[in-house]
Amino acid sequence: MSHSSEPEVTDAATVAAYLANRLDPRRAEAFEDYCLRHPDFARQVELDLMLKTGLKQLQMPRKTPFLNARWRAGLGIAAALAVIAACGLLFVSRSQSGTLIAYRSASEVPAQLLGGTRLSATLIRLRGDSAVRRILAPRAAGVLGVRVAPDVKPGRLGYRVGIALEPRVIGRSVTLDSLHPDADGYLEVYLPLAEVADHTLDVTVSSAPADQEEPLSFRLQVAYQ
Amino acid sequence: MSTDEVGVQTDDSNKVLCSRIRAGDTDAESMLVKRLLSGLRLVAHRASGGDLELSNDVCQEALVILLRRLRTTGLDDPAGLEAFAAQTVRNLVIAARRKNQRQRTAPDSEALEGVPDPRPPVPAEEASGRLGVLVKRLLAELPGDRDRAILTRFYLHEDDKSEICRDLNLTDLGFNQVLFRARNRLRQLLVQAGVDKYDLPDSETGS
Repeated sequence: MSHSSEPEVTDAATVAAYLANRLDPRRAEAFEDYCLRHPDFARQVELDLMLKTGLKQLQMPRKTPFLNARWRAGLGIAAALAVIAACGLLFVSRSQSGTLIAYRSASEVPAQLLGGTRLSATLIRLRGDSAVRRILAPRAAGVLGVRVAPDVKPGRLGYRVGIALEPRVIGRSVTLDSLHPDADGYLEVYLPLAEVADHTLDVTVSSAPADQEEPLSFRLQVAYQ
Repeated sequence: MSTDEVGVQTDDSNKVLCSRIRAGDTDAESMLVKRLLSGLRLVAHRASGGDLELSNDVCQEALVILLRRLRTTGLDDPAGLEAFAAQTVRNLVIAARRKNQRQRTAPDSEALEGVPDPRPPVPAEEASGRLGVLVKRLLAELPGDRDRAILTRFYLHEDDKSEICRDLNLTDLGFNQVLFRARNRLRQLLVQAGVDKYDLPDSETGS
């Protein structure tokens, strides 16, 4: 007896979407129901999950091997532009710039950051509130978990969480798409403390793709104790 | 135990399995655990947001609850065995989260303060990124850069399979074979690393 639509559940795209946490909760539960009724398939998915987790722990550089000639040429041009842009920014400001690192789940967080004290902050119902919340982190903590309760319905791709270090002009930022709430209704992202300590974070939450609603936003100041 | 014994589930097989467990058949209990373990770990992994430590704890607890129930009162509807087990896992994750929140800070408090997570740090072995070490070994053993690129792009960068096949001039079968070999090799490495065979996914028998 099949309780789930097999062709939809077992295709590679669905498995990949499940492992990337990109399925909406209803489809994710249908996928899990199928796994529970098909143990051999579940074992294969679990090994996929282990491979994915292991690779994330290694944090291999993106797409460096196997670039074809056209990609290499494009990469060369992009690198040259990046160097020019970086030089320009150096003249403008000595602030750090670029992409901020954030992790979509605890399994993505490098092991060395998880070894110490864990720190978590829960942010809820702060729409329109510009007050800065302050969090004091123990020195032993490696990663900050930020839990946010969204107050709008998810979009077709779930939610989008943006995190930017102030000042925003040349500050560092990251956007995570296709996030789905946990069983308690919270979105959770993880930030390396060393990257965000002594900064004020601007955290925004919206449905994905973005709708007309102004994003839910928070300001969070992070400092070491 | 043959693969067939733990293969596709039917309502009838659930009914027989539940009856055997209620009659005190410990082999049936082992079979049940083997059937459900991988699926429940996936459920727990997603419900907990990828918290490996919590996932493992919750799965063990859920299986204990399930076996106790089957040994005593049983299930009204054995066909719903998998759904019951999955919901037990989800409920346990919610309970664990609530417990942690109570210990940290009031969930509806707007006065935010930094509170260390009361959970103990991840065990050293797990925190050392054992999976990462094994996957590194696996990557080093691969015959060529192409296989490494396939695994990295598919699992780490979440590139689409068709895009990878197109870029690397691969057939669907060729792609599947790389994944098939990688899964089986990872499983061997996990066994060599001392992970209990019983606790591991079975090796695949075909691609």
